[in-house]
Amino acid sequence: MKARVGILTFPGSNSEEETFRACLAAGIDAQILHWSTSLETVRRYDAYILPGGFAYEDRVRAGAIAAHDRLMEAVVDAADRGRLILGICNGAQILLEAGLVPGLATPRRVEASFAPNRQRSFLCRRVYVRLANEPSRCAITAALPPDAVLPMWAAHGEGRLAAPPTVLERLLDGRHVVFRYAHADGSFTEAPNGSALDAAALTNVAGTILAIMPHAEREEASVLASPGVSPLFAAFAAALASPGGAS
Amino acid sequence: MTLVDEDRFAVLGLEDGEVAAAARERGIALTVAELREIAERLGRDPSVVELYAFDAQWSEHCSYKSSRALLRRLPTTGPDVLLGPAEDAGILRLGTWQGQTWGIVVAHESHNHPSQIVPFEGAATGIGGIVRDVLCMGATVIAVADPLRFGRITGEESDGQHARLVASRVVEGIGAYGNAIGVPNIAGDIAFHAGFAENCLVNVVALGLVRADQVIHSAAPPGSVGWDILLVGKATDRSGFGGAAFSSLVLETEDEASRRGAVQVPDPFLKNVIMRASYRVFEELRREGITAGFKDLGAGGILGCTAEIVSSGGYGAEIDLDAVRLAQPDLPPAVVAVGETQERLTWVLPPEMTPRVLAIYNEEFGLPEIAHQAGASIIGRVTAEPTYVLRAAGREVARLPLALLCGDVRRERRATPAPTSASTPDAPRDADLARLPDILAHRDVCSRRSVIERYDGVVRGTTVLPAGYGDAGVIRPLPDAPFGVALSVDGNPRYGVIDPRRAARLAVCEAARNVAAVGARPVGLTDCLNFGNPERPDHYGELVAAIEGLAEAAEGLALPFVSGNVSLYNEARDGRPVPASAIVAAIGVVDDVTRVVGRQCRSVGSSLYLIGERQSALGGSIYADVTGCAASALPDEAIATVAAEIAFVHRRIAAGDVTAAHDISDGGLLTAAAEMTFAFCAPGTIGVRLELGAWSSGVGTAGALFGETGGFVVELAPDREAAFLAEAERCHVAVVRIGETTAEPELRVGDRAFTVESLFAAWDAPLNEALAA
Amino acid sequence: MSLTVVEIRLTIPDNAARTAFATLTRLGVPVGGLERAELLFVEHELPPAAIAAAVRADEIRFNENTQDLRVRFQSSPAVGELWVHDEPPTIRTIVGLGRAQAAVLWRLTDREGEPANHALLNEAAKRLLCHPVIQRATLGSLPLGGEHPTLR
Repeated sequence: MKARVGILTFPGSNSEEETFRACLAAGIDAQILHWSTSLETVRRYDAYILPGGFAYEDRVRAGAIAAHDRLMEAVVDAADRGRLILGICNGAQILLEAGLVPGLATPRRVEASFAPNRQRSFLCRRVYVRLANEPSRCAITAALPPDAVLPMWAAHGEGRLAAPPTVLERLLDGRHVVFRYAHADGSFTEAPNGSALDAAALTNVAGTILAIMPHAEREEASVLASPGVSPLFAAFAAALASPGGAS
Repeated sequence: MTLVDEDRFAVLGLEDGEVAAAARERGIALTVAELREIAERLGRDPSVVELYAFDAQWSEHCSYKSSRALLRRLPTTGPDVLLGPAEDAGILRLGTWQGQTWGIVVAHESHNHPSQIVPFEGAATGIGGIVRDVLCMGATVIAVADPLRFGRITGEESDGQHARLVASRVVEGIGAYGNAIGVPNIAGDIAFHAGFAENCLVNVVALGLVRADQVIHSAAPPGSVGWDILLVGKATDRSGFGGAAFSSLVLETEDEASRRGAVQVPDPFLKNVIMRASYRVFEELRREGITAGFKDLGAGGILGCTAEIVSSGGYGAEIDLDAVRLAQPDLPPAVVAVGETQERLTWVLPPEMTPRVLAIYNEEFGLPEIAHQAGASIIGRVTAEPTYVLRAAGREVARLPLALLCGDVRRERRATPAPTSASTPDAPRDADLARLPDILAHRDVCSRRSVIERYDGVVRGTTVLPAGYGDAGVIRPLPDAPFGVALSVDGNPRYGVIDPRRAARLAVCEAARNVAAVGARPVGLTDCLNFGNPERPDHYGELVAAIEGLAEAAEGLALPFVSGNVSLYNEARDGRPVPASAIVAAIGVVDDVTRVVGRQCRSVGSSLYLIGERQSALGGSIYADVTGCAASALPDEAIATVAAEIAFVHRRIAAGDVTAAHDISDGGLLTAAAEMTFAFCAPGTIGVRLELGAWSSGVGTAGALFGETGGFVVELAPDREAAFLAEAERCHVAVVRIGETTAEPELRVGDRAFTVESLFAAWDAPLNEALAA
Repeated sequence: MSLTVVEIRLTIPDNAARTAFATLTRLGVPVGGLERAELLFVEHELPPAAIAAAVRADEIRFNENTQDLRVRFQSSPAVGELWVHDEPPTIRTIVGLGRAQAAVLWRLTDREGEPANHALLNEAAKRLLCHPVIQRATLGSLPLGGEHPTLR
């Protein structure tokens, strides 16, 4: 049976439509789940995407309130059972505020942040990202070629990975950085927002959750892009279809 | 209606001086003559609530009393017009897809005065307001654009710290709002001029997508007597009181404290949710086949909006202010009635639909959970008599004939002739090529990257060509259909100072050229007329002249105006008006978005062609500004030639002959050529070699290379030159080969060579540094 | 140069405080009430009244329609208050005064309506109001910003 992916929205989310279309294009059976949906219904999905936007107006901090939203119980339980979860931009912030990524400690706690950009302003720029470690470190990226360079759009005011030195060391040792910022030719580059380790995306210990700041789902109409399915969503589809992907 | 003393604003039987003083004390902008007219037509003194209602409705901003008659000069009809400028937004035809006709909704507004006082909130609420204008037509909001005008903030000539503060806060406000609601900013332009130092211009444009048979109008529909009037959105508070009248008064520094109170508070987060909830309501109404009325609240608040929505249908209303959700208790009825709390809309619905709509806003989308006292409530009903009745605490506080409140208000104004450009060019012949880097660094030419990057240009995933990559932004609003919509906003203040009429003409041409340069067919226009004090004949004369210029160009290009706005009283303390600023937006349709092109050259060894003969006129040009040379004649353009060139260019792009295109404007042809070697945030790797010839020697190299006569530079696709030339011949469009692209990343012209890297560095730095500080 | 602490709070309902309160309650933190304000730490030789006037006059920092301000007597949190600073600190520029550090003030009461004690403040900070990496909190009744409890 094909895995069903729930795209969870909160008041203030704003990228759900294009995320849904990116799923469709990749052959992913996805549905946008409104925040008034019952928890019981939300639990029935096999995997989740937390899309971009400004959930709860970034009240207190970006992602802080949504991380404790009643519907997140379904996401946390799914994470504990090894289900696949993709958090994009604000979604990535929510995953960090919920302690699901990097998830070094048990019991889970908040260890890192996607904090305000070094330049203290919103930055919308076309960027490239490249795998920092082997594709299979994260189940969602396992199907990507190891030297894949993916064009994406950074569009955020808070995308700078921040963590204490001890945590950064463990992120490196544990190969938690999934993507780093790169040039079009694939050479790694400094993050445009000052992100520690020039990290664009992190994964958890088990490699089942991907928290990625740049958007892979906004190139669909662009003349700057190659036509076709977003490679990241294609990889996600492959991960969902593989044995263990939907279990 | 009997009024007790405290509810009454006394006019009858009082001296002019007493009336004027009482009006001033209340912050009323109406003249004594207007107040007397109101009292006479009512047959009594107005109530305080009624007073504020007239203050808003009869303000320049709402009534267009100084400009309405003039605006009739503009062409507003055409085969691509689905709805002309009668409502809050106009609608142009996008195309037919799967048997349905789709329309592009477009609205264009200004929020100048509030942005000068409280730049972040003023600009943010400007975006908020324009988005509501599009939403209330039943459309999905798909893009915004921001034409901005500020005092100078780069280079040695600066208009000071305040100008920089205004510019950076305005940009922040626009970004904060647009980014939060998730609508991409796809176009904009900024010009810097000393004339805007005390009066910035913040114009905003929004686009929407709607099926032609699903348009919702802002009028109580036929047969709606007895229907419910709903108020939806933010809890009403005291902020924003008096905003409409405020925009019709000249800003006085000593009154700034009180003006600040009139600026509204934006809430894009709430708006995000309201938009999505409204889209659900649209679905429900369409499923049930119900025709409803929907209108956004702006100037005049609850009273203005509900009065207009019923008046447009020929009906009246009874409204109960006690039913309005308030942010704080004990607000005076006048504040509740006329205050301009943001993020509010009004529905006129048949009673059987009301419970479902209330449930969508209040339960499914949980507005009351999201913000204190936000939500949807029934506040009144539609009545048969065209009278507006307002109650608070069980008492009538307003009873007005709608013909008086919402009727046409006209003011006769006098105009003196506006300045005109010299006709004989007096410019130097030979170009000083060494000045190219200075021209690229000029405040009106340099890269706008640092502004564009503060805006989300790609949210919704529909952006085909983002702002900054080409002359117009392009989106593909229907994911499965091949259509695209292009948008450009233009208007040159340096020209406006010299000749308002010609500047307006050229703005239309430039905007239309910009959409053609990405491969779109221009289909319609909007305008915002930003001028001085209409009570001064010299300022008013500029407005008259500009409208004439808009009309000439629009008629010649066969492009209708479907929406627009007038902002008057943009006047400095010393009495000087802002540079005459007719700001124009052009909307274009692309039949196949895979054919859209940007401005960066794509391959080595391509031919570069010039379309649009050069002239020697350098008046108002960047070159004249930088070199200080004497030049007073503006470029002029034969509209018929412009029309032919525009049609030729977008067709050649659609046919695949052209791989990059750039219009010629600020800084002239050489600037355009340089910009074609730049990527958006880095120098490109392909160079350009220009060959001078008859095309440049005839008018002199200064005019040829730096003159700002409109035109295009295009890069041809390999093997398309012959086809391109054949078409040019067939269409009688003059084209001339001016050079080619090269592997060395240099711009070569005559005996000069500049590295692309050095030119890019000059172009990229200035605004970046100014905004970062 | 002396330090003046200016507190700016909303006079209209504070949705952020409402939402934070609802979330803390759902997390089981026994908060009875929650208020929020912004703090500006101004180092300047001007007397407090002049500093307050300057902040009021800066339309970017203060909106008289929706906000109220006052000068704090002490530059540390009172009982029941949690002051949350960003790391690195958020800096605001005030016209006429220059740069000032900004922080968020949370005022908590317990279920009896009393100012929150240290344990309650600590729990609220840890569960939601203070991020362990990019923020640090000072709790009312502590003389100086102490080590954040979750970072051992």
